[in-house]
Amino acid sequence: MSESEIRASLAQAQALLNADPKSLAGRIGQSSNEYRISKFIRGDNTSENAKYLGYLDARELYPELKPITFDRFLDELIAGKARKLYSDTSVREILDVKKA
Amino acid sequence: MKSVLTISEDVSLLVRPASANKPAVKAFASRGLNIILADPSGDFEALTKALFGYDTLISAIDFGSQLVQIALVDAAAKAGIKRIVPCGFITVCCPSGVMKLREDKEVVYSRIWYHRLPYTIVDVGYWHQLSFYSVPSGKFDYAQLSPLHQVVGTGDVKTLLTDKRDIGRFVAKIIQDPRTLNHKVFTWSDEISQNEILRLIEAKTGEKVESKPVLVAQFHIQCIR
Repeated sequence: MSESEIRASLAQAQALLNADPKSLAGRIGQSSNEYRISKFIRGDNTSENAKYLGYLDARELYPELKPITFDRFLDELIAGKARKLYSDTSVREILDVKKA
Repeated sequence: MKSVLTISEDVSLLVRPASANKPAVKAFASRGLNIILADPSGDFEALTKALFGYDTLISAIDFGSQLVQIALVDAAAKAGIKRIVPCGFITVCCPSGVMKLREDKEVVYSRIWYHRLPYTIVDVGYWHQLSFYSVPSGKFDYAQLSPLHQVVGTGDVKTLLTDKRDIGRFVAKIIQDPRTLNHKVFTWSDEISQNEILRLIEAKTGEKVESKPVLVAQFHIQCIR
């Protein structure tokens, strides 16, 4: 997926939001494409940028906390032990609350 | 929540009335957790009263409701909250110009600074649970919120990841720590690129991930189904 494809998707989402500011499809489209640009095109989500922006590094503060690595997560996933996100709730539920 | 309960016995859940009957809320209530119903968009005095006596307020509100927190911040300031952890918990990014979601959060942070309310902002990068690709055998489908096939850009840009289950463990440490007061903190387990993730999955499963574009319209349908 190239930057121009993402920009096109983002424009589609923006059009949905212009028509209806509460459009969930528009919000998700905007958010997911902005994440893509920020993470994978601009490279904002890095420890170097975090430190530039003044963040403290939790790994330096708490070296005794051993986080679950992505490698270990993949092993759980392969073993069938991962859990689907929001399995006790759903985006649909959030949508219903918004309408209420 | 489990991690926070290990550091204090006086933990309550502030829940919007619209969410009172959600299974997650009921599950917490059945475990004996105190549930306080209050609407940040409703009666300000009632909200303030609900917060009196608490030291720390952690907000984890849904992505579309960020600005609702402004009233929550006002109430927290009036109630004398000693540390607010607003709903951050996203990727690291500059305050504006890139992500609308970040811009909404920054409006809330500005309100915190307006009151000179003590705070800690926690960002967690992206989650492991949203960062693995679909494999041709379909063996990962059971745990996938929506299929992931596409590599964005060159695939070589690194990004910070935290396992969703570790957020609470980190937050429990962070909110007890005077060093993090009035600071931003980022959590992570990996700083990893999309191509590195593809190579890891291929090495562990022996399957070749097929990268293919996903139309944005399909993506929306997958998300709201």
